[in-house]
Amino acid sequence: MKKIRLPALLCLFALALCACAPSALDPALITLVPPEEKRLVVCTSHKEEVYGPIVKEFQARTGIWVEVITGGTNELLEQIAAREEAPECDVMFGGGVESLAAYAGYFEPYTCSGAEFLKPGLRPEGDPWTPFSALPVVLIYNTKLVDEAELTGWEDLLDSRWKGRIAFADPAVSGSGYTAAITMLSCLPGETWELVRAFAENLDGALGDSGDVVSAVSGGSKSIGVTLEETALKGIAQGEDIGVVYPAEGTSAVPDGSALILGAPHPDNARAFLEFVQSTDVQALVVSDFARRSVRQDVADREELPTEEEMGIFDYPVDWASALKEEFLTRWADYTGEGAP
Amino acid sequence: MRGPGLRESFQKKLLGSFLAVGLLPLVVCAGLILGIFQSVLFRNARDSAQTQLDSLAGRFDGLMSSCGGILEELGREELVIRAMRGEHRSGTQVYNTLYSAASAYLRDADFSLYNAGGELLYATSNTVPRSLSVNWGVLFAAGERPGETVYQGSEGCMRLARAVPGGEGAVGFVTAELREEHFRRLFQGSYGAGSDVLVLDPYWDQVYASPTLQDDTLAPRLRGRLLEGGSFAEVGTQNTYHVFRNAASGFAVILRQPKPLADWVMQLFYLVAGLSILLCAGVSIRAAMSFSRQLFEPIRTLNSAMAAVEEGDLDVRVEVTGTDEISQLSGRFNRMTQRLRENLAWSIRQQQELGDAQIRMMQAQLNPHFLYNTLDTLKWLGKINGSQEISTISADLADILRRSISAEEFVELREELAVLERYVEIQTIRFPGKFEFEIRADEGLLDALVPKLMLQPLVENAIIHGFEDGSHGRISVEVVPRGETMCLTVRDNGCGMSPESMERFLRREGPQAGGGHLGLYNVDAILRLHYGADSGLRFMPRGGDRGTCIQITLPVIRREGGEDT
Repeated sequence: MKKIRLPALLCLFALALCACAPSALDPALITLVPPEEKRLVVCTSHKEEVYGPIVKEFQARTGIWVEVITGGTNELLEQIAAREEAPECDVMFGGGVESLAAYAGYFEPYTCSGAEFLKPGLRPEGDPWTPFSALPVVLIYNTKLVDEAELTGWEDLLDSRWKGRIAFADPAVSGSGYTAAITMLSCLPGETWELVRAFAENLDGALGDSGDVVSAVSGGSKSIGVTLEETALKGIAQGEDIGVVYPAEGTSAVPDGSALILGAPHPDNARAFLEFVQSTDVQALVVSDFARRSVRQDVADREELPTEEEMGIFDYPVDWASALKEEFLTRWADYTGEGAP
Repeated sequence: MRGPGLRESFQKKLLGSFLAVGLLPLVVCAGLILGIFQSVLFRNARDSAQTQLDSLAGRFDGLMSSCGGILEELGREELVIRAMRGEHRSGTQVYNTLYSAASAYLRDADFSLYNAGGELLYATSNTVPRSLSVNWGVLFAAGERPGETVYQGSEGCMRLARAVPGGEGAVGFVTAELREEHFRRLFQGSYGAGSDVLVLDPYWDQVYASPTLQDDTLAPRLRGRLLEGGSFAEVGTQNTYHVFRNAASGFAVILRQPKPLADWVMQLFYLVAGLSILLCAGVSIRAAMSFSRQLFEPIRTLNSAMAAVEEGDLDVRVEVTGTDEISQLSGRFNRMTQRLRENLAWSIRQQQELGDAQIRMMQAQLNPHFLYNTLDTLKWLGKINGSQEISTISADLADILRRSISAEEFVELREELAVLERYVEIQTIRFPGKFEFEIRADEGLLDALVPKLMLQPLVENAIIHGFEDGSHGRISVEVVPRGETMCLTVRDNGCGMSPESMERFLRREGPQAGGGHLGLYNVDAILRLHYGADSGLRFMPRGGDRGTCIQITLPVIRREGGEDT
């Protein structure tokens, strides 16, 4: 009796379980699932306000469904390196050229159709990536606390007048902080480590996050700061009490870029995306909506902003910067007291 | 010990039966009821969702096609084209055209006219953007596909646009815009309270969500599931999702309906069912335990009592409490141990008696030595005193005595015949000249084993009874082989046995009081004991001669190691 009833019981249980068991996608919806050739996976370290409109327009124009994976530049690049055998992502969208250069081996070179329109110096040799926008480093000051004439250039950062009043993102933490430090070192005369020591002493404490520079200056806890032009202009647009000073000694405009990942599952769609992000339509958006500088010669920057010649833009020494990084960080820790036992 | 094992298996069986009887029906019923309940509820919910979705879809489809029609109509209006070219300056006429074309749908969407540069010219609402980029978004798409209505969603609004052709490229664009309030009005009343509606663009970015839907991450999660091709059930277990896709625009309308039974309700049901089952199991176990204890306790008592008996304790008694089978068993056990006890007592007594006899026998064994010595002394006294007969009788008697008290039951025929000769020697001295004695024995049989002192009583019988009348007689003993047996014959020519004695003997009634023929009876009994009931004495007819002839047939058995034939 038991032997007959037990299987019957199990069947009943199975039926009961089936009633609430999760099923696969409704068959009616399967037709909505885009096929593989209509898909693209984009890794991006940009903020949503940057990648959102671009991805949306790309989808509308090409009919390709874009999956976006967001994260920090280094985090994403490490993931890409870790999944070298079977990449998930097609495109790395965003990330400074320093970072991209370090991972160039994981990218498939691609020359966009508009490559000849790129501004000189921004196009990398061999086209492992495509530049997306240029980001000049600028100085900012609190318009209530500081007179515009008081701040002229990099040299002021070593002036003891500003000791403890400079907002600067810690190069040990922030990529843009390191870029700013290298830019400063490139512009000032003198022995490198002496400059670093003098700056570290004058700084008297760096900020943990590059995003805090504008708020620290506009809030008045710091008087002057070093940040990217994009960040400063956005702050001004939001009504922060800051002013921008382009350093008299000149500055760098390190571009960020996009790259096709080697072995990408959807390479054709990825190339279409690379073409799209450096097209004039997107580059116009970079200028108009993102307060960045276009990488194309045929897309004009905002009229009210100084041109690159006026800013004294020089080529950022990528190789030197990466060679120096390790020693710099060690010494920086020493000078700022963090490395002291 | 067998106790715990017995108890365990017994209890297990009981427990199994109780559980089966107690749980199976409950589990089956609970499963069936829950299953049916759930499936009916879910089917109803699905049907209701489908009805709601159909209503939503109907409204959305209707509005889309109406708006498309209005845009197409506006795009053909000469006045509109001229206004876009900047040729027509009278705003009211254009507005009239715009409003009359859109009259039925003024509250359902905002309609606008943009020039080729994307600048707003005319609109039915003040909230539409002053300008739209023609290199980006919906106007770009419309410009790329002249003669078609294009649909795009952006930042909480859905835009329909159509390029108005004129000469080279577009002279302008007609657009319709649906914002949150339009969607709310469109879907009002077509879905149930508790349900929510989402409108997603063709790439599943959210355009509209009903006000009660507070979850901004829902649309991205649904999109993720769609791209993975997985079930929406995993997006949120509290709800079911029903999707409708508008073919013209590619926009999707998603109805989110709460499950008819919230998960916690189902969990509560399962919990209650589980608890009932547990309770039932508990009761079953409790009942099985107590029942088995009730049933098993007497068995255990009996078992341990038996173990005590096994160990040798016969005084153990089991208390009999009732009249059931176990009690009957206990009673029988008690009686059995009593019998055992009695048996034991009896055998102890027997043993004691046997011991006593042995002691007596050992005491008796002292006497023969004394007798031997005395007889030996007599023998020598006879010799010294020149009385040869005393000497002979003493020696013979000592020899007979020695042989008769030896422990062996069987002796070789040779010895038996020697004893016989000794005896006859004594009797010859007692009754000189009264009889003659003769032994004829086959040489090959001398080592065959025969019962000890078997022939002597027969010869004694012949001497004492055969020659009562004082006649001179003759006694012969003959041993001959006969096949595998041997035949011993004792023959005399005395007066023979009286017919009464013979009859008595043959009926085996035992000797007469007074002891007549006691020796014959004994020999007969010994033979029967040793060789079977048919192996007694046989009286052979003597024909015309007087006297007795007794025959014994025995198997030829030799000592161990000898040939056994």
